[in-house]
Amino acid sequence: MTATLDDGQTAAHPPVDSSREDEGDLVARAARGDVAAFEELHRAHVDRVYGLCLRLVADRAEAEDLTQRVFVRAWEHLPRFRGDSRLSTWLRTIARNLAISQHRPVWRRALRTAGLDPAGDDPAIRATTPRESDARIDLERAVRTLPAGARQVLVLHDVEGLTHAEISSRLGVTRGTTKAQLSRARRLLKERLR
Amino acid sequence: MKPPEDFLPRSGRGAETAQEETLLVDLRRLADTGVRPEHDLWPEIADRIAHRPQLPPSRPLADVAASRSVAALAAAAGLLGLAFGLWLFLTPGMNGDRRVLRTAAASLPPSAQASPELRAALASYSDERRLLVAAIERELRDHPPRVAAEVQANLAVIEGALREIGEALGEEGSPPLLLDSSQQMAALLERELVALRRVQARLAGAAPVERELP
Repeated sequence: MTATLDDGQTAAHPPVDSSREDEGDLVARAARGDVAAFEELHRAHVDRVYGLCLRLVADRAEAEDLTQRVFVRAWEHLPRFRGDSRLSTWLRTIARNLAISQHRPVWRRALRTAGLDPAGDDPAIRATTPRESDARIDLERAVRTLPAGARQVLVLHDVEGLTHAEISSRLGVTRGTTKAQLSRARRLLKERLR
Repeated sequence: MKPPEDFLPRSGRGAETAQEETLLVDLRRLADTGVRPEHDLWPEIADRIAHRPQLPPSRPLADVAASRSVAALAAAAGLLGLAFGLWLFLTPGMNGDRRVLRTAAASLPPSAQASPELRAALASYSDERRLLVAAIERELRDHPPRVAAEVQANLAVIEGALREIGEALGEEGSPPLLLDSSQQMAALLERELVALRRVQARLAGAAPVERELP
């Protein structure tokens, strides 16, 4: 699946290359300290990990730093990866947990004040989207233009598949808050995609 | 002839529901869509992992025998951590004028550095600790100087406890005991991070929440 962002970045999910070494073998080698094998795993997964980080933090520099930390953490814990889930799923879990632990205070503040803060509904913000210049805004970028609290709940719920109970427990807010933010995020997203 | 339903104009709630369903499907597909970073992240990752030992494979819990002395210290440090949080929450404040914290991450005695698990835990801990201390220092800019002094004093207490535990580990001397105690030491390092998160959360005006590890 490929998409292009308006800032020139390409969204790409490279199809599985049958000529590439079996991922299980690479994981086993990397878990024994083989850096070259880990680099191959990194190359295969970095776009998806970075995509998730970017959706969550909506800042390229922060997303890059977060992505690097995800792979450093994965390197450390790889010997304990039992293969019960796919490597991509495991990496996403690390990314979510690191993002949440690093940004939780800020996100919680954003979630709690969002009802009082109309920034996300501000026409000035919408005016910065390509919709105003008759360009078709793509979903990836539309998600990134959402206000912080709404965006994080939308990504965790609708993209990552977490439940309201999981999100509220991890972010330390009530389920009512996450539901309200999700509803707001979907409404804003539909408006921006029209 | 009746046209297929898809050709009928949709209006009202039905159209809205269909639009939302389409949006949800598209959002779910985003999970498999990557975004290419603007530059290659690998060189920096390679540099960072060059100094990071990997954790050993998990051992069955039954194989992990706890060292009594370290377990006792661990329990004491746990209580200290709780007391630290409460003290920080309740202390009215002291005078001071620092906004930059004088603090040092825990280190391991030479005899304990043979444990790759401890070394890995310490490396990960130091990384996150550095970020947390930086975040706390940022938050402190918006608070009176006495708050910085409070945080500094509390950090000194918990660092002292970690130093004592490190010394106790060094005195153990026995490699098997050190290895078996490594998970407890890692847990202690995590407790310090939790305490730092509490400080940051409190300074940011939010209540503390426990962290989940991958």
